[in-house]
Amino acid sequence: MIASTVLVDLRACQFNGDRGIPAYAQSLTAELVRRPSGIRWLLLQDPRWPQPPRAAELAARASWCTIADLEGPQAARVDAVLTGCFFLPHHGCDAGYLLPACLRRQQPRRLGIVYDLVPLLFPDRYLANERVRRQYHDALGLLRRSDHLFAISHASRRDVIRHAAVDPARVDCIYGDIDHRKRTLMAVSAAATARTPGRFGLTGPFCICVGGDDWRKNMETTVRAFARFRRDHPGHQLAIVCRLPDRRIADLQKVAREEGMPSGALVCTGYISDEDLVALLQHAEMLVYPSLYEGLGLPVLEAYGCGTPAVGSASSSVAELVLPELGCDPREPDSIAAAMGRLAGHPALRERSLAFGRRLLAEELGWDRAADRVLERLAARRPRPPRPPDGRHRLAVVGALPPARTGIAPYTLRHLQDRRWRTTFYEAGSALRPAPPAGLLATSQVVPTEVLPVAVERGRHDTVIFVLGNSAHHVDVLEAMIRSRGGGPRRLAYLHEAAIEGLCRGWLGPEADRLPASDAGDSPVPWIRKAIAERPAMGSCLRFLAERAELDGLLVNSEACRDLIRAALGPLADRWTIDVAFLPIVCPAATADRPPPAAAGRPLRIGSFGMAGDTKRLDLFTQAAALLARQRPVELVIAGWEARRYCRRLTIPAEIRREVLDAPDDETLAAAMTSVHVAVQLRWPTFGESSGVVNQLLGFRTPLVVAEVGSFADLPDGVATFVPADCSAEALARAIVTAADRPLAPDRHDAFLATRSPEAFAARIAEILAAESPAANATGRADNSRGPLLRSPHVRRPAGAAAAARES
Amino acid sequence: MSIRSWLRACEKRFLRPLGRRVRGTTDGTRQRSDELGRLERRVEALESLVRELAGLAYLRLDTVATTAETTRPAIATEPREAA
Repeated sequence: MIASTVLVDLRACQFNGDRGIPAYAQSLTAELVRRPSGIRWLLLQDPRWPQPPRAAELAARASWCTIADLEGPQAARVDAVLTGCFFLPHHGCDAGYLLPACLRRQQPRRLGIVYDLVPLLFPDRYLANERVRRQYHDALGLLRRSDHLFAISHASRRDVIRHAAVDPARVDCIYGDIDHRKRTLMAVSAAATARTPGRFGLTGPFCICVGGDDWRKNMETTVRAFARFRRDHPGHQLAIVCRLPDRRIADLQKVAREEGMPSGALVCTGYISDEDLVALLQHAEMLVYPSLYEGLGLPVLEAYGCGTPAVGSASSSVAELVLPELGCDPREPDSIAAAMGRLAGHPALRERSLAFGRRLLAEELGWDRAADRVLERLAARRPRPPRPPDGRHRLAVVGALPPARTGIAPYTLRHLQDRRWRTTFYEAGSALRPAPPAGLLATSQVVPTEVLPVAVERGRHDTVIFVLGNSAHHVDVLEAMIRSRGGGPRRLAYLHEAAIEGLCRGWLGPEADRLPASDAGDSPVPWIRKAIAERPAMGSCLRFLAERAELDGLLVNSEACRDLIRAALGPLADRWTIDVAFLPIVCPAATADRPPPAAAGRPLRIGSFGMAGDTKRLDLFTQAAALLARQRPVELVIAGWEARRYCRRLTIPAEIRREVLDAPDDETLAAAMTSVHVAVQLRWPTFGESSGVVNQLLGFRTPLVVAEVGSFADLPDGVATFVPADCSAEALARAIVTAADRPLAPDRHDAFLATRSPEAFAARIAEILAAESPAANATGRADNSRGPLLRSPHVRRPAGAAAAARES
Repeated sequence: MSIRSWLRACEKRFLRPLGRRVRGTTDGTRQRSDELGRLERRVEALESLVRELAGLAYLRLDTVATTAETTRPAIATEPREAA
């Protein structure tokens, strides 16, 4: 699948005329938009500056736009951005300018052209100014985080790998070619332009040097080298073609005089038109190009196009473009003069240089080849790598691990590794781990999330699971998910809850509030309707994942969560497989002694556990306790994060004895869970999330009263007592008494725990990993008709069946 | 006078005026905090780079990145000398 709308950032072409970077970026763009690729091309410009020179030509096949056009609600959705140049000369062209908020919000795939890293290599020359340095490093950071880069030479590619630490697999060398317009001019025969050199005072044989007013163009050394060459080849002139200030021209003339060159031997033409440049190149004896550092060296290609041989530096990219015998050390005038002498003295070498240039232009370079590579990389997914001979599935799990303070972290570490597959954990967080975490299997390993894109690119994994919850702990996971797009392995997101707007806000900042809404339908299920109404941003965030994360499917903890995602996302949910794997319940090795039954006269201990909050309905819980306290002694146990602060807001009658455990450790919490006669776990509204606390209580076989909504409704009858989500205090009090008096059915409980055991969870994960998604590989969309998986023993029955069975 | 009302009076009489004065002189501090924010982002980026390189080394994915692909001619490997 190819990205359908691609934005080419050509703001760099609004500076510096039509040579160098503007010429390259526009020529490549012209070739790209000329192709019948089915892509809609948008070309970005800044209205404050003059239009790029070839704007009218490009407008025939693409649409010009500005940032303002991309801001509005009706703005086009951009699938990929091709940055024409990362480093712009104007003040304020930092990362925020290069990737404005409207694009950051959309998270398109980001590609870019790299011409060179000259300022980074020579900071004393180019980055002495603090503002310039800051802006350059800002843009460099953006360059590093691109999905793919196109270097204009192998030397530039190596520089990006070596000095910007970009993974080699993410940089291609695409070269380039001579500007289309100059190609046309080169077709004119040399005879037609025979008088042009004379107009510039070039009366005899001459060498040409195309440069610029830049230190690295090495003009002074060129003049000195030419003077030495001229001692053996009198009558030659040197033409320096570029715009130079008078002061620089005077300096060069002074150097020429010092070297004993007669007046007129050095000609500085200033800026000349393309026609004149081509004419001078056609009539020159050779091009001298001893630049100290170049990204490509277009003048060398232009010289070859005009049938002129070239002498150039044996360093940077120029070394790739000149014949090795004609390469020189650009710092040594004698070396340059010697190369020029070799070329002038050996006609066979001249022929070889021209043949080398012709072959280069015909077989290695070319806008069509460059455009082919760019279009290849715009393709969404690459094929999946073959599995190694031992056949064990190579799973990458990207998520937070202990000691991160999220309940998801211990589950991730404990249950997403198994001996049936190899797990590499990509750990979110800022610290490097000095030692592996406790409980890590010998076949597993832990590395930082930053490594994921490279590992995916190298085919290290068959499946990647991104573990996401709705907190800042998972921001790095989202970042890794976006940065590893385009790779071969199957990509699944393990959503612990459907509402992830807190996560998106943590990552995108205020821009998260401007994500486009999803096409959510009207659900017949009341709790789903309520959840969507309570959190309208839920659909937007899920839509962002569906459209931008290149996921093959989702993994969720409950059928309720799956149903909510489908309702909140609308038709977009069909892009994914949504597999259910219930959170495993870990039963303690020896269950602690249950409290003696609440006989007459003995207090009834009722507990509520987990993080306190409005959605846990602790107000209703205390009202029900107050009603019960009129008939019998009651003790309350409230344990969890924020429990003490929240209890201050509750009105608890004085006659009820209460035990509030604020932020208890694991042992204290476990002791409290086993000490109560009944645990009450309510939730309204719910977002389909599973409850780790309920799982723990089930493991301890504590009698439970739960609200019959969301994931709680998936529980079978024998293991919990259900109340409607909007029940009264009286109804809840009755349910508590029922739960306390009803004896547990050990057989049914055991059978239920067996379906939720860690072994069953691992088997379910193995089943999901073993499932192939050929549709996803072929088209980028996943097959959603996965009936056999949903009928596995671990997933008991279709959504809503539990509630329906109880009602009947 | 209770302790609470005494504390409140102190707050109104001394702390709030002091707070206003301090706020009036924090323009320079704010600029400095912008600079600090920028430096923090830079440090975070560097930390991220360190983690990436450490992870690549651990997975043995760095050998291609740093050696095989970056063997270059003598002059080109020492660009700073040319300066």
